[in-house]
Amino acid sequence: MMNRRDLLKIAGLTGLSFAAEPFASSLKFSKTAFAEGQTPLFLSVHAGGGWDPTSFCDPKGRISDTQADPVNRYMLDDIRSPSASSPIRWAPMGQNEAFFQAHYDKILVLNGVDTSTNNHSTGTRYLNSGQLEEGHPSFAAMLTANIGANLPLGYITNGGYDITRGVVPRTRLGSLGVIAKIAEPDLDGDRLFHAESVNARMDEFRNSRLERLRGRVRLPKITQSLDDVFLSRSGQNELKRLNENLPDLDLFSTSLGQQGAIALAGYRSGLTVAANLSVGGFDTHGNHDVAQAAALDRLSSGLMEVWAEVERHGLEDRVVIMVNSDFGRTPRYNEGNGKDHWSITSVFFMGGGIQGNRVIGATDEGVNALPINLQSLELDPNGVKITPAHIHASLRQHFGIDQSPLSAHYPVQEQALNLFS
Amino acid sequence: MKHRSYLKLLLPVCLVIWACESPRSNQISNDQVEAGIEAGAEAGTETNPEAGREAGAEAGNEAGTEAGTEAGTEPPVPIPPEDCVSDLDFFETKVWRPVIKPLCLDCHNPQGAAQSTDMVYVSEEQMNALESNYEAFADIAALDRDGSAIVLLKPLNQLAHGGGRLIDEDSEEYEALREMVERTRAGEPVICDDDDDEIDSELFNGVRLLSPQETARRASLSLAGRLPTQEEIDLIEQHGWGGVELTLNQVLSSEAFYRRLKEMWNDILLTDKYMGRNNAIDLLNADRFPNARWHLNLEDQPRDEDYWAAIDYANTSLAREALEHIAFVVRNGKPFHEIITSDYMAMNPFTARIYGVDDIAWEDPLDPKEFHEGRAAGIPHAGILSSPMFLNRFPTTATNRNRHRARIFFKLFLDLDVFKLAERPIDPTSTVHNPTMNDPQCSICHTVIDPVAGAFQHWDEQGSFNFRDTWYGDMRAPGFMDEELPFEERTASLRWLTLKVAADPRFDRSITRLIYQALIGDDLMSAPQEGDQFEARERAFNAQQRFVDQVANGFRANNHDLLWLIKAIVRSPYYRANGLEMDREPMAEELAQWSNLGLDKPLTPEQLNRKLTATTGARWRPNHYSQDYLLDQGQYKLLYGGIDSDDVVDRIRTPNGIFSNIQRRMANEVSCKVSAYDFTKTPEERFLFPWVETSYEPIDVNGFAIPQVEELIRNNLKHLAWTMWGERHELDSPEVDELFELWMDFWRLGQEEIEAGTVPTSLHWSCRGAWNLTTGQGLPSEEQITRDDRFVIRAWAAMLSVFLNDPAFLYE
Repeated sequence: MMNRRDLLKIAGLTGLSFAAEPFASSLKFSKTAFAEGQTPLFLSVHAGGGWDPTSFCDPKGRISDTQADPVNRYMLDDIRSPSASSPIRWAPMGQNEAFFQAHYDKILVLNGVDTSTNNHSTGTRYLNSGQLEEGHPSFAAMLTANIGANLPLGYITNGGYDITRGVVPRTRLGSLGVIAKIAEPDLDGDRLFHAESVNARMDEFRNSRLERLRGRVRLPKITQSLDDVFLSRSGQNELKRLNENLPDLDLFSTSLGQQGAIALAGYRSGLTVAANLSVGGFDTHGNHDVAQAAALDRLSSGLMEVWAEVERHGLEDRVVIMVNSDFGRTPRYNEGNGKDHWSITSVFFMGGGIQGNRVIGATDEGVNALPINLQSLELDPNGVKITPAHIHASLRQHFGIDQSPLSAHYPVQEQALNLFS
Repeated sequence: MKHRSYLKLLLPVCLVIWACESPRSNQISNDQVEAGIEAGAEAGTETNPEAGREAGAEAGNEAGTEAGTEAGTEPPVPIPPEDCVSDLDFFETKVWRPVIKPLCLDCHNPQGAAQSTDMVYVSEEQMNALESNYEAFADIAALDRDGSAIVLLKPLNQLAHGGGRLIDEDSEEYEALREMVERTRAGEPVICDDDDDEIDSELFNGVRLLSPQETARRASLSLAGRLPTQEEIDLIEQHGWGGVELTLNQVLSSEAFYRRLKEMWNDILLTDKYMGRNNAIDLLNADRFPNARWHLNLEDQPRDEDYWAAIDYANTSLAREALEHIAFVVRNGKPFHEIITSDYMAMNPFTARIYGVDDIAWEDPLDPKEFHEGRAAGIPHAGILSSPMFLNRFPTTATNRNRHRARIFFKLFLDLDVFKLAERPIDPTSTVHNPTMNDPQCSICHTVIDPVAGAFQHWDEQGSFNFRDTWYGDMRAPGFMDEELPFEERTASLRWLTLKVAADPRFDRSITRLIYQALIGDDLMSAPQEGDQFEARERAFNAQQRFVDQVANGFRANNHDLLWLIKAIVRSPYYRANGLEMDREPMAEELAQWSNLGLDKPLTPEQLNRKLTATTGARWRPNHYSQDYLLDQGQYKLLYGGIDSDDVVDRIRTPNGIFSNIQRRMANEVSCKVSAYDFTKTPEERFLFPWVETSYEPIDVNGFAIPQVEELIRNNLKHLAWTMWGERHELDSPEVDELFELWMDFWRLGQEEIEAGTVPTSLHWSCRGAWNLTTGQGLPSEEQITRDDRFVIRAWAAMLSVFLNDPAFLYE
């Protein structure tokens, strides 16, 4: 495993700068989808449990009430679309209508994504790291390591696949009622706990002691943990900035909305470049239609709140949202009116540099993935199925980190596709 | 007990006089001292650290050695190391690594395409993997076809081979296989005089291991949230590792240890999810357990403090029943496998009442801490597995059919992550009928988990026992591995399963691994892949695997005594490695072989909270009515990486900016709150400043040094370095010199600020020694400390803040 010190060495060797000023772009590897000098924010939204794309962005419906073993129980005719010319379609369930009508023009849907697994953790890992097997950090961690490794809250997580392989720390920011208190750790009300000159001497001693400890212990694991301490201390005062940028969280009706607002405040404070947001309840082995619709409601409503916050900050061109799940659900109902695990799923994107109102890939009536031509991205019987590895190769390219040493250290096995623009 | 009046309602259930099992004694007797010294002698002495390094291994080895002797075979005469390549080494370096692992293992494994052949190998991370795989090779190497070894014909495809032709006859791989076959057929195995224990011991040359005192300090803080007592320190001083053994016995018999044990297991079982309100009780089926809500159904009972206390006791007792069962098994010296094999459940008066168990005589029927074996009518108990808390925390559905429970069972008790079997692409277009039975891409996992899922067959979605006459015909039959559940065992199928598992060596390894993770904070090293310093990393991996196997063997030989297991790990170099002791820079190869050594994780919020109290004598909380900051989910518990056992179930163990701010605030607040307060006590009662007084200044008003005061200050700094950081320094050591210099700087800077008028001479109210921090009561005015004219108290408070916000305090 690469430790952070190794990473910093690589950064030095390749001329990669971990800028002290987080908004100075450090995407110097290759062309990116973002304007010069603009650091992006990546939000990875995970619908935990395995969503059913046929209840959302890859609808199938049923032809008649008497159709045996239908994929869905709503009627084919009830499938919705913003216009005859738009390829975007959605199932008539939950808040889908409100969500897609408002945002279809900025959404890119990838249907027929083959995760090759129906195992929760494996699918979640594949869709968020680009590798089926264990061993890769999440894309959010990769991005943070490349463009925000020095940031104390560079990678915020609320669950989902947040493995970092030690390349960056991750931060949980769930209960923010106490942020104000810890944002000012030296203050007791309006006075300092220790005299100012004493505080300065304490800090000087702490830093020198850390160096001495590092020279003394020298065992690799402990050395790395001391590096972690150093890194985490380096941004102690930055939490104040986050505190100043936080909106009133009571304004948000969904957990997802709150998670997004915190991530955006972190970004606006120059502290954060990636975040995992999560919403659960999609593992609908029983009573599928009711439970899946409720979960989709939470997802759609939450995404609408997140995007409203993106717009409030005026960050539409900088924020990229990826929404995925563990895998998909079976093209039939089980005896308990539920749907079980299915390896074919959908992923969708919205935000900076994403050309919306598009659908790439498809599934047949049995929710089997259909192959596409890797150049034209059109359906092609002689093509290949879209996999999470394709998506991650493309994501790395989109963010300009595909040529980075870290990307070489954690390679993905497929080529990048021209998915986003 | 505070709420006795209402709790008397429980009395009618207590009719039979019950003889209590003797709890383990907390006193150190002379006999114990001697026994401890003997045990310590085995574990090595302070003057013989080499012996200590091997202690854990020695303890575990006994069983294996005895087994070999009992087998009645003469051990082969070892060959001196310089001329010798043992069969096992040859197999590992020439056959396993370059040939079998890359070419054969993908199919020839228990779940692979060649699982039904005569040649099946196990993963490197399984117990005794190398030895097992060597034996598997030796077995197949003995088989001939037309005068040639089958194992040589197959990879050439000269005998039909599903994998086709894999190697050529003139390749190095073939030559290695040929020599290996020759060796296995030679009759006399080649064993060299460089046994693995010696190699493993050499692996730690250059690594600084904690001394006996330091080890005892780390263990008692980690396991019981306290520092070693002076009596224990003296014992260790006198008897070295024997004294450590006795100290650990004390630690492991304390109530604080059992709290820690339950905390460790809640990280695994997560049943604390059901704490609070009626969350646990609401899980019980009212028809099956009509008594479950006894305390709620008493309508004439006023909703007073007693009533709410009773509800809390009832729900808490039920929510934690699995954790309490584990504590009960250990506390009573029972084999640890009883956590899953017992035909009873540890019950206190509250859970007994809930389950309608009325044949237990209680010493105190109102005491939620009193536990006995209880058997609920109509429930074939299987330890924690039959607890509704476990069964609800790991639920099933009509289509899942207990597979989730089976997966957890394998992970916790058989050291097998079933998900890892399935980390390969599947084809969703497969049209195989009943894929979990017939499609290899599904059956790879289902062959393993479905029989065990069947053993859970009578435990329904609510976690109730609900006898089923038949199990699903489209699943593998209930059982364990290749053995089907006997018809006569079908009612108690779960217990039948657990008895099988308790006899399986994988159970020993699984528990060893869980305890290793809990104590060291890290999982075992994964099998290394080719790359930089591969051989060094492989040495580290192999040594760790052997260590775990040896300790697991010892755990079995000691009748699954969990306390023995904990002590074996605590004594080991994996627990004690704390740095390097060499004058030169370590080489890359050495660093690679030490890559899995050292405790490198920050303390959990619970551990940090206990350590704060143990070292400062005070709790970090807003006021004495409030919950501690680090235990309160609404405050810092989750932000500091803790779990809520519900949504947040994995701990963050790498520090981030939030951790850092919390640590800083903790150091500032605690040092402010406790410094003056500590000085209000007599020196003997003080935690922090037993050597100094508020009037002790090292320089008098005329600017002359007062050496006696300097020595006292140095003594106090030495005291804090030991209690806070676990560092032993001499009074004139560079470390104490540096700390003294720091103290002097604080003192001078503070006085300058007083003179400049930037800080007052009085203490801020929140930093005054004006209240008893335990009771919240104000101190008599004559005992209060409210002023600090010479900045002595605040210099000590600043020192304390430095000690608290330091990796040596925060990591341990």
